[in-house]
Amino acid sequence: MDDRTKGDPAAPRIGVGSAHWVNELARQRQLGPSRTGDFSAALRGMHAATRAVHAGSFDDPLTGAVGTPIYQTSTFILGDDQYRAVEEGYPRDRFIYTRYGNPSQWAVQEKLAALEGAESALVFSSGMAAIAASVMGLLDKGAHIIASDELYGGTYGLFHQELMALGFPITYVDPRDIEGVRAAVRPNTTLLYFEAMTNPLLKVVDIEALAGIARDCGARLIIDATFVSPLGCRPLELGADIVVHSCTKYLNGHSDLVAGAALGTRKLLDAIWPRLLAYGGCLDPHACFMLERSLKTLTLRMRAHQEGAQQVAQFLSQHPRVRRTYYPGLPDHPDFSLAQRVLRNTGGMVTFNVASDAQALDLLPRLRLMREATSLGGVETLVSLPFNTSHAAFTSTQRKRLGIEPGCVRLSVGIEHPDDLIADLGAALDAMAEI
Amino acid sequence: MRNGITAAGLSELAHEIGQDARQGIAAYGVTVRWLSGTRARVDTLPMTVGAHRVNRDFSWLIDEPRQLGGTNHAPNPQEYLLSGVGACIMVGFAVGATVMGIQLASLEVEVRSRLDLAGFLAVRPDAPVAMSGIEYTIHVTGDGTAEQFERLRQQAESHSPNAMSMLKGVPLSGRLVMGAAQ
Repeated sequence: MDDRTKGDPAAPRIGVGSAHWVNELARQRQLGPSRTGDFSAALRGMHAATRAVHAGSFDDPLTGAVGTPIYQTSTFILGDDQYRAVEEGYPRDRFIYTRYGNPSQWAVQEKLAALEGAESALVFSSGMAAIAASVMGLLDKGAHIIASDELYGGTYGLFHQELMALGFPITYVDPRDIEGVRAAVRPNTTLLYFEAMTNPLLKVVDIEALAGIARDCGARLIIDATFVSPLGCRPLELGADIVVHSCTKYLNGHSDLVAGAALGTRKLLDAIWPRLLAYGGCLDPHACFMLERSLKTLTLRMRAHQEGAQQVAQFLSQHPRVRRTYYPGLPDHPDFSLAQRVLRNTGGMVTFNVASDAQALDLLPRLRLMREATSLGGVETLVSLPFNTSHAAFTSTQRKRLGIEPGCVRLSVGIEHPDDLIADLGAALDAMAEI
Repeated sequence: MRNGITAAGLSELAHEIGQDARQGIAAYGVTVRWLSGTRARVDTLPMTVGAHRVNRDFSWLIDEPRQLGGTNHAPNPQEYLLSGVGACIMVGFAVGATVMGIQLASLEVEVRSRLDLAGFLAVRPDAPVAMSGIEYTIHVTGDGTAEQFERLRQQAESHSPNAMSMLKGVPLSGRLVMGAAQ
């Protein structure tokens, strides 16, 4: 790193003081910010596995220690360059205070951006922090939002309780009903919010079609791609404006930290960044290190998740005590053809139904490898029941309307050997009580 | 941020528009609804900047003083017009000061005009309907020199869309639709 630049060396002098009007200012919008100034440009043309290992990461400039150091600091020594950045309006390009930016955050942000094909990224202290800052960064007073009627419960809580209380009207629509989404557009619609794959029925959303609606009405499209990861789908390439992730899930993949990310153009991320500052959900440098390290194995893990999930789903779909199996890699999934078109990796989520919620409750303690826990995307297989976790706030009638039948079980298939997972499931299903 | 304005953001916007002219197109609108007498309520319509919509959820009242047939509940159309010219020049002044690296301490734009009601009322055929002219005065303190501030004043005026629309005139067209608005 250039010793004189505590931040992005590509940020040029703007020309304040020598210019007389705006047209004489020099700064163009750039990628990043990047500690090296090139935003891992050479890596962008390489394979995802290579980007996952190398993008954003750097060796310790003082000792040569391999791997990004952990910059466990809250603040940075100030100089003329930093003061100028604040005065002239580019503090995001300088290290000033860790809530504003930190080399540990930048390293993981660059890696995530390289994986997602984004100009810029921000990491947050949780997926919900990323969602809240992104949504608020794109909303103006009185704006109307169109959102999926199958949102993750935390997001639904933000929309239904917080945004409604702030006066933002919201219309919830079936994410498969593209014409219904179009019909919901109002003159003041400025934001469409959907998830790339829904929970727990794993509906695959047609991002290109949604992006077309957003483009036609001048609105922005945010896609929560947590369930698919950048290796399954890169929504920005399909026309989304912003992608958000709960990095807690596949991106970190070890069930040992909570983090979030927002990715998109530098222009939009610069609009979200002030909300990160205002709401305060910055990611701690040590958590950044853990996330950055975990991302290096993302391609390996996602391959294992998919292989395991595909085999587990095939096993479940043929098991006599399973009424229905949902996995977008199975030909009988309603979105199979769309998934084949837009997903490069169908992920590790598998949902199935047994006879009743009572029977599902009886099943779970019989599993020996699979852990009964909420969350997903970790190396270990997790199992949970939507009726008493993610969708506990809904009545059984509401759940049925969403398509969640009694006896619904959600698996987050880990990276264990599929044979062992199938044996575990098979034994539990066979022993499960008739309820 | 000097003067609460980001020079970096201004610079990026200018370069963006230089590369993609569509990004520089801003479209606005308001709806003026008659309440009664001379009173009206104005609501902003969604605007667009480039390809994207920006919601504008604002409204205000307009009225005339009792002496001119109103109830004096709100500023009149001429005062709104003058405020639009003055605020536009003020934005340009603050932007220009930020570009030049000048820290403002205070800034006030006083705008005055007059008109002859004989024109509106058609009392005399030679009486002009239009305002006789608009004069503004900028009161400013900050770390700039008098020469810099005068240059800023000229820049702010010549780059002000509202001031230039008044000075040079823009086409005005109207049409009528029978029936209540949807």
